[in-house]
Amino acid sequence: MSFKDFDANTSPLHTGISLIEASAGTGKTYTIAMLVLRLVVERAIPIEQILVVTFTKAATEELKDRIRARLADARRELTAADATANNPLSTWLAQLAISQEDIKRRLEMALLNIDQAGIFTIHGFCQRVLGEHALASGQLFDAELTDDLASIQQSCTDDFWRQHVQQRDIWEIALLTRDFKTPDALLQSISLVDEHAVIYPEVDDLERVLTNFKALNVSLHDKLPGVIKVISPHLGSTKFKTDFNNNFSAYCAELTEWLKGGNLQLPSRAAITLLTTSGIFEALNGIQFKTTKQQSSDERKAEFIAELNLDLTPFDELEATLQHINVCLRRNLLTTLQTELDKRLEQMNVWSFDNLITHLARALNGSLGEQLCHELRQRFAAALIDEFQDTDNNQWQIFSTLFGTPTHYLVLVGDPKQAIYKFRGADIFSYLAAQQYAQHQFTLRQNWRSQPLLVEGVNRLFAKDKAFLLDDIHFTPSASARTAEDGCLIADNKPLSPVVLWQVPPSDTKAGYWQPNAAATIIRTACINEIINLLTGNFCLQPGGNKIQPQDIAILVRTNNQAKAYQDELRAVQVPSVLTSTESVFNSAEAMQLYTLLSAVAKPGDLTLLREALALSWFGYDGYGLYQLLNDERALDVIATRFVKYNQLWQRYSVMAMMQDLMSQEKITTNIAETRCAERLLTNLQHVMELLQHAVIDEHLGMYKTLSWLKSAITQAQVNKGSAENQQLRLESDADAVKIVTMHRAKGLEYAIVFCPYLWQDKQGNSSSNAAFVKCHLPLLAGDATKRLIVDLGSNHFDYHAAQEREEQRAEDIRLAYVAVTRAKYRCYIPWANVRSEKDSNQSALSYLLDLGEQDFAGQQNTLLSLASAQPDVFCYSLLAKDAVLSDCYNPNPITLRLTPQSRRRYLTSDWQMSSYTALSSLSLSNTPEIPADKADESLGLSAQDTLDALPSGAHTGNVIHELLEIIPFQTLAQHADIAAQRDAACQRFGLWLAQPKLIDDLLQKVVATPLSIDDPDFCLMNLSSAHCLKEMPFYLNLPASNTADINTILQDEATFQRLNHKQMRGLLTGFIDLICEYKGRYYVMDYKTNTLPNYHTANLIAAMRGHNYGLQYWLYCVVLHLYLQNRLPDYNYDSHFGGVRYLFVRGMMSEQPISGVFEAKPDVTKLTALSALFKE
Amino acid sequence: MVSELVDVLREYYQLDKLTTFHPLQAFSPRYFNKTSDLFSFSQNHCATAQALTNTKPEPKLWWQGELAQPPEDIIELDDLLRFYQHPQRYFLRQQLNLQLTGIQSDVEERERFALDSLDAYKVHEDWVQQLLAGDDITLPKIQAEGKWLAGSIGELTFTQHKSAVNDFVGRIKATHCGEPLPNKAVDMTIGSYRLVGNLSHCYQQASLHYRLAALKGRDFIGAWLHHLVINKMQPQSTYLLTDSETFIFPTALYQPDYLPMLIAIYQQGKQQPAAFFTEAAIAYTKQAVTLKNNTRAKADPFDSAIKCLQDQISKDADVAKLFGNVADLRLLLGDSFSEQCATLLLPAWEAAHVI
Repeated sequence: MSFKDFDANTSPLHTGISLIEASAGTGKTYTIAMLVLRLVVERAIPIEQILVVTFTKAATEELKDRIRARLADARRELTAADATANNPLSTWLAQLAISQEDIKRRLEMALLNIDQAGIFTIHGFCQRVLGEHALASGQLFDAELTDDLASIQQSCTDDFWRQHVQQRDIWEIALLTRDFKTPDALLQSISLVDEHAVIYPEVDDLERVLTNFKALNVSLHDKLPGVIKVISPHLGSTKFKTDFNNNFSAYCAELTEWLKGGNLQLPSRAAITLLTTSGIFEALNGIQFKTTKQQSSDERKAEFIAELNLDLTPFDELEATLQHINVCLRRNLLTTLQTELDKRLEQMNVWSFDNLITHLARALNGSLGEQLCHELRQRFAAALIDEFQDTDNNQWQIFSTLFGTPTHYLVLVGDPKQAIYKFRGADIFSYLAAQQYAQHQFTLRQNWRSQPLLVEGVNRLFAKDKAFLLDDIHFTPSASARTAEDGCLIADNKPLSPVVLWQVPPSDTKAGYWQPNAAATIIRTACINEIINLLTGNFCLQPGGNKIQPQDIAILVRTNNQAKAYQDELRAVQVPSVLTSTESVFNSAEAMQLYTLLSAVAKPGDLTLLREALALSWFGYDGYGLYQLLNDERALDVIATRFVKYNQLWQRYSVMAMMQDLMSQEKITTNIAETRCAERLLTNLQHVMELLQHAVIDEHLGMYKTLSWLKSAITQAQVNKGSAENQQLRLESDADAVKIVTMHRAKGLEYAIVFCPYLWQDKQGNSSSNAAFVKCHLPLLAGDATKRLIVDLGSNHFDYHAAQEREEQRAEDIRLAYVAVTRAKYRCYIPWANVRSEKDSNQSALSYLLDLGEQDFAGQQNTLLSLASAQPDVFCYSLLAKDAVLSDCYNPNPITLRLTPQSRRRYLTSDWQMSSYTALSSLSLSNTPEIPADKADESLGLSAQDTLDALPSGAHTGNVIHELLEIIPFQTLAQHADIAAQRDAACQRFGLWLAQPKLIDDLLQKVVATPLSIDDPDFCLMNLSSAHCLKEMPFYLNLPASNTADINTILQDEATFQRLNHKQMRGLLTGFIDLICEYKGRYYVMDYKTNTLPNYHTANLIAAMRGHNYGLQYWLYCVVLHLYLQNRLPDYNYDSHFGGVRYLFVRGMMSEQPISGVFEAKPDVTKLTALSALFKE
Repeated sequence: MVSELVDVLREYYQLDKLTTFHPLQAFSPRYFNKTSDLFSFSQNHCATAQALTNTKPEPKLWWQGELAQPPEDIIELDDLLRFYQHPQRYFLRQQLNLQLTGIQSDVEERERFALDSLDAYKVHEDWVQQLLAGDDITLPKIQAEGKWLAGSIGELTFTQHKSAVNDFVGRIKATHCGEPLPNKAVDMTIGSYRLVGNLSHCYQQASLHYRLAALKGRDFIGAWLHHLVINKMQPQSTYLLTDSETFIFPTALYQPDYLPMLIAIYQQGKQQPAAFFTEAAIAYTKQAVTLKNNTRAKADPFDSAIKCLQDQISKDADVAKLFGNVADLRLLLGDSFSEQCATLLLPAWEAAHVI
């Protein structure tokens, strides 16, 4: 099937499986976002029914943003007045045969529901499905994810070791532990593989193998003397090599001793191979068996051995069986792990990342699989799988089973040329298998990243037939969507060729070949000099004509050590650089130093720890400074005291709070900042502290637990190589810096100028033939189209499989090279060095692509030069100098900046506050019993008077009375109407229980009926119409900066006022006035008091008023009323409008006696004006 | 939510530049150089940013100069020996009272499947003692004490180790040093100093040092010093045995100049930490001898010393603290180092080493 070009805007949308091959820079994310938009609009699929799966969390976030933005753009485009705009979106919108309203509705729904969109990582998707469909997938509901598979594997292996090794007899143990001394070593020698893999060799019964071995030993024991007897006469002759002659008897003794059972220790390898056919063959001296006309050397040797007439079979068997025992043990462990691991995870109710996927795959094939499929097909109408080249068999099974139906859209987007994550379990062959199933195959041909000549260059580099080694990966030359005007690198007004080929001259050795390290050093120097040249020379990036900045440059390396080497050298020439690394932050020196410091803080009395902490460079002491400090008792004492304080801070707040304080007090950040690589150190320190604080909160760690948590994190990081995502070193700087990235991490990123200094490196050297296992892909049966993953622990075909693995590795190297060179937008540097041994030619990607491997220096130079001469605007060639040195430093802006922090204009602590009368009155000088918090809580507890026929004193009563007076019209109360409902509700609300509820009705009736003026018997509450009452009037009085003394001065002669303590006040004074009313054109302030007094004569009332400083209250209320009337009443005049104050002590009110229980006053106008003035400023 | 808000603000209010992009670090100079709207109140971060933008001084040695402590006239022999075991650790512990412990590993919770070298070494030490005293250790006992692996694996390991220990004891016996003697009291005048203390490792016929482990510099220096001290009192040879090396210091090797020189270095080492490098010096000496005897050997002894020191820096907290930031270790060692090795160690090594 051939690939059709795919245009995200116009290509038809097919149900079924579509595969879109997205070469580097062809706008994969754009395409996915566009596809989602089109499914939403054209196919009316709600956004929550579209599943988008990609591989990292960061990618899901980006994808979500991009999809949302695309939907929003489309909506904007739709509503934009300017319908003639010529962009892909509007063109697409214009050709749709759907009504505007429908489009708009669909877009808006999608935008509203964007958070429900199914955009997941593969693990996220599996976890979600397994969790949500726990019944159908046969899972527990609340399983959690763990990334600590290693410890579970370890404990499984330990158990295996106990069962299968430890409990045997000593002779067998010696045999089994010959190659692997510990369970750790044994575990290391196998690879965990998913259940689809075919594992070689087959499982063999360990017991049977051991029994056979014992039988073999018996026959060896019998045969050995005979063999020795035959060979001995030839010893000392020149037939055998000297080594054999010399060691023969010692090795034979070793063998004999062991076979007799006298020595448990297995004979050495040399002794075991001594008498094997190949061993004897090797031992024969070549000089004595030279090739003759009739016979080759090997034939003569074989003839000689045949003449000896030895039976060497048992010895051959011995060697083979020992090897087989090794393999058998490992094979058994592998089988055990495959079953046991799942069991353990299930017991612990956790999932590992891998078994999330296997579980789902299994669930789909299981008994309830149909149901699960059905549910998920209902839920999702379309699935878009991003980065599909990094899939594996299980993942492909999941998606094809779920969505490979004729009614669903299953779109697979990926690029087999960029499948570089084999080490992470990605399986390019799953992609290739899926390719066969896809009904529609497309390719994205337009490259939107690189300038046209660079695209041409890449096309040329990969122009070779079978450029990617594998049959099924084809290279389709890309077309550049950009033009030279869109951007290129310019020097002296001339565009530069975008692909730079560098060659290292032949080395000083005879053959001129290079060792990897020496070549890498020469290339490194060249790269760094070129970087300085680019930064300081007359280069610029068009359009814009900007000079090249460090951030425009990236160096793509293979390993972390290479990255470090580049960073060190860049630092030496003062070019800023950042490198991304996957190392754990707990593996850094800073984590260790933090541990030292925290240990000292945790035990501030321990001077040994304190001294050790002070020796940290963080404190900025050099040796002599520290010596002086440590010998100065007093200075040390001061520091020790500070550490005691830090200890308290830690205990009271948190480790983070303590460290922030400690770091600023001890100037730790500043001290660190003065050293080299300070950003790195500071970033690490901050990172460790954050992780620690998280752990403290999550796991509720105390001080010592925190320490031991940190300690175990550090020790674990030292043991484990990989690290959890949140532990990976963070970027130390986002400043303008050269990026140093591994090729694997660079995938998906782009840089203006890219150096690829390691494309000549072949990985073959390290994957040697003595690896414990190999992984490769082969068809199981001849003629079978699909290749299966094969893991070989040591079968008879091991060498073949190993060769196959090397081939696959080589193919991946080529893909890695493709990823590297396609990162560049404007220019890419590709150095070449003939790194090889005498025997083996260079097997690197570059060597394969340009056929350099078998050529000598001149031939290689020729090849490179011919590229440059054929396409001079694309390629340029130069020969590097062998003895170049680093050129001058790059020093962009040596001016030291004066930095200043923003100065504070005000303080965070403020005396501004919102206070109430209560807060104010609590400043009263005399020792009033505690001022009630609630203003109704006014009665002094005269409980002796509480009887069944009296209302109980206390806050409850006050609250009820206030409530009823507020909600029931006075007239109703006066008529003695039935208020039982309201009364009971209020009593219930405030928790007041009354023996005779009627008492309240009576009391209220009296309150409203009592005249409030001696002169005017009609002035009762019941005569006030609702329109003239403001009940519970809230107020806010502005309180400009003032002093309580001012109030004291104004009110000093008032009988009901108590002096206030000194306080500076600012803010707002707030409160509620029970009642403001108007009667006969005058306005009154009224307040209800439920205090129980011995009697309610005026003197008593005044005493009570003063006791609670109600005087202050009524003056404040009057101010409120005064100011209020000034604002609201036209021609307000105090004398004619202001009525006065009535404080109604309700328990003393009697309707027949005017103003009984009523405190009456009219404030003096001058004082009131003065007081009001305080609040008006 | 946020992107929706931004959309609305852009579409309906034409507010475009709403998003502030903050630098990655709170101590970024951009917060303090007033070139953008970014600002920060933090004085501490400002000081940090300032320090970051300043040009960095070349890293210098942590320890500069010398302590001006008057030398003591009486030298404890133990102190002298301790100094030569590890001059750098001695300096930090003795003069600065500083112990760098780092992280001590916790007791392993997992069952032991293998014997680590330290555990094995401890048992070996005891084992050799017992054998020399005509006794032996038994497997069940050390297993019960938790010092050895349990079960048949332990048995297997035991038999494997047994031969090595037996061989070693055989080598010790072959020296014919005789019975061990009680410690010898030492009180001697060397130049203007008095050296006082007790000398252990004395046997009837000779002095004997042994350690069933790879040779360390401190083993050699210890035996050499011992040899010099005891020969000042009485002529006798000194044996040093390690797992694969044998040294016999002959009486004739004693010269009265050596001790004053070694004491001078010791006095210097009390004032500053770079007076002597035990392990590096032995690495140097070893390579110098190899170079002399083997025409195919190429490596410069000085490079061997540097490599040894680098190795120590990466593993040894004391050495790392003192010299961790030194860019060129050659300057640190200097000429005096080769001189020390050539005059003090090389002759002794050549005379004593049994090949």
